[in-house]
Amino acid sequence: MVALPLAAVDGLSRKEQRVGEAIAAGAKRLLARAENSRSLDVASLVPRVRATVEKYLLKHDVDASGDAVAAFIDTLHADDLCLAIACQRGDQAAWNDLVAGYGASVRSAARSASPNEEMAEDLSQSIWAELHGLKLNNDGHASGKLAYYSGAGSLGGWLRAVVGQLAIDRHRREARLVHTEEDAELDRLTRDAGVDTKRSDGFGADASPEDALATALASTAVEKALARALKDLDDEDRLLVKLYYFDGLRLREAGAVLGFHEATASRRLTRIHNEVRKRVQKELMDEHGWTKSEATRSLAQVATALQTDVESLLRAPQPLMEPAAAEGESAAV
Amino acid sequence: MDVLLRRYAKVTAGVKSTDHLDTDELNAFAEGTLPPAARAHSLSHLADCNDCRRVVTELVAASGRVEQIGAATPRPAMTDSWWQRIGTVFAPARLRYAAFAAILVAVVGIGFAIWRGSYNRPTDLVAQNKQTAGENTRTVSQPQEPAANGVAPERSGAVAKVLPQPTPAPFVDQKQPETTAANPPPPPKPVDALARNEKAPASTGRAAEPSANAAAPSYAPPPRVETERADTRSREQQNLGLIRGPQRGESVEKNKSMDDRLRGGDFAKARDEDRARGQADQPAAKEETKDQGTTARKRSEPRTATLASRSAKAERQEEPKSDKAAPSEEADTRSVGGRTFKRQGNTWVDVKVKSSMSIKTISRGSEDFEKLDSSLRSIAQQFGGPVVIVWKGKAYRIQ
Repeated sequence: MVALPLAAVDGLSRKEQRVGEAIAAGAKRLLARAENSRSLDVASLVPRVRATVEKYLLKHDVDASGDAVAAFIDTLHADDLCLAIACQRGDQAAWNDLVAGYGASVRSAARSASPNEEMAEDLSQSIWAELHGLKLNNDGHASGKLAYYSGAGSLGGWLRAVVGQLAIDRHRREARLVHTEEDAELDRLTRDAGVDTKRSDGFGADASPEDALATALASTAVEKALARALKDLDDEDRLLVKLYYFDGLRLREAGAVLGFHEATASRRLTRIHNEVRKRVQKELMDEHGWTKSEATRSLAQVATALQTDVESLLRAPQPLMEPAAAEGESAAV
Repeated sequence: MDVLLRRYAKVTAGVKSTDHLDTDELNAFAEGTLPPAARAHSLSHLADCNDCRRVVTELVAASGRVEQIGAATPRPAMTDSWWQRIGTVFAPARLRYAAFAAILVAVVGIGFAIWRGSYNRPTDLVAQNKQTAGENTRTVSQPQEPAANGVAPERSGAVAKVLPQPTPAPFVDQKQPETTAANPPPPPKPVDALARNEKAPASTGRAAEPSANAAAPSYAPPPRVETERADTRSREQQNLGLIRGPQRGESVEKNKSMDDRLRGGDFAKARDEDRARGQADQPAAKEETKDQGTTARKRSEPRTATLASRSAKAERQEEPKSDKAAPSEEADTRSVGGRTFKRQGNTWVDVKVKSSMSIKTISRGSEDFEKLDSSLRSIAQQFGGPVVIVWKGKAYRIQ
């Protein structure tokens, strides 16, 4: 039996002891599952496995049983975890295997996250440096990003995530210099098109002053009710709405993110529509004292005004629209 | 709602979160390997964090999970309650089509029924005198099914309300004259009635129902000669039944051989009767064929009854009745202008008269008479005395 640091700590409850035993046994099984253990022993695996269990299981469920811990450890990617630990420990053969096995994936992810080939190459080179680490830890090993790989997902996917994250970080740094606020673009386009907007967010654009005022008031009320209704949705439904409406994903892609089929995503969206409509109507009736028919009519009016607004924006002179803005508007419609 | 959500998405800035998911969590979520509690936490963050959601979306697309899930069979959504499912089935959008289909079926059904009803109009406008009283007389004299006795008085009673006649059941079998008009029988011969009775059908069950109609009493007395012929023939057959005693279920071949002996080689007559019986046995696709078959069956009904009367028991029970019924039923039938009339007393009555019809009385030579259709007038002129005619759904008593 491996000497566990858990067992050396005094005052551990029996539950913690059982969890510690489950982790040790799980690490042993994990090592046995790996086709290439990279000459690692159980003791070198246990800290990483324990960190993973605490992060994904015990953090959210402190009463997780030993069986749950064991079941979770059995889902970890054994070979990938051994490879990452071996690389972190300075195993050159493991590094060669990592670069040979995942170099193409990293380059591909860098290309898709970069606007040109030069930046993609720069990004992929940065990735390897980030993975290896430039500084040394107290134990003498390099403190690269590979230390954060838990084995919960595949190593290839994790590498793509690292590339994406690095690309976003770079994008954020560049975004501080270039202001690309979409609302400002919309306002500018609207002004250039000669559309008299009463609001800076694009809600409401009517010819008659009375109608404009009524629609503006209704739009404000509807917008608030809509925001509250979306906020009250459960997390999965809210994420689906965000993926489909905010990110412009197709139903198939949005469903895949959540792990279900396109048809299921469609049914869910239909249900969410009904749910949001009811909540918005209820909100309008409770807050403003409207009748149900008035609330329904206001929704229809605002929707019609929004459609008109979008159409008028699209009818703006094409030279005034920058390619990025035009693409964004087309996707919204 | 779709438009609202899309527009709201455009005008709403994403939540700027500082506590992002790390790459390991993002990857584990994208691959669906997170434990439920950790997944719920990631969901909550992803619903609000645009950056992390973008990374997850790209990871899912790059991992090929979209194709994997797309190729899998979709699971039925279990979030809908039973009430929602029932509401979906009976949604107005679906009921709209169901109601239209039901109306269409009803219209087609009614149209078909009307078409069937109008298909039996007589087209033969040639006046004919028919004497089927002999058959009716013979029918009355035969033993009847108990069910038939229950039906016939009911019909006759209904007609009697319309036509106040001393005889209560003049229209027992309204179909029979029509079908006879469509297939006019040969003129009555002394051998005719005898030959018809000789061809008894093998299937007594099939003949039972028509015999019930045919066996209803006809109060119009047949000509004296016909009655005598029928009585003579009936007695001959009864005598034969005493000798041989055939039962109702006896085969056709046996009856035929017996009839051959009785006919004395009248093969031409037998051929006609065979043809008529064949038509009766065939399932008729056309109405005319069906009418022919009905006629043939009705012709064969007296034969069935005759066979039954051959039994000794039936003979003992029915012989007095036939002696009594024959003189009282002196019905006579005429076919004029494609219509069949039966005599009731001194009045000729169209067999199409129904109890629900009101009868309008018109005198010959009056103005009302002149206003009638020429065809109707020509039919009325062919009768000397009062006549009741059904014309275009109305009944006229012309006297």
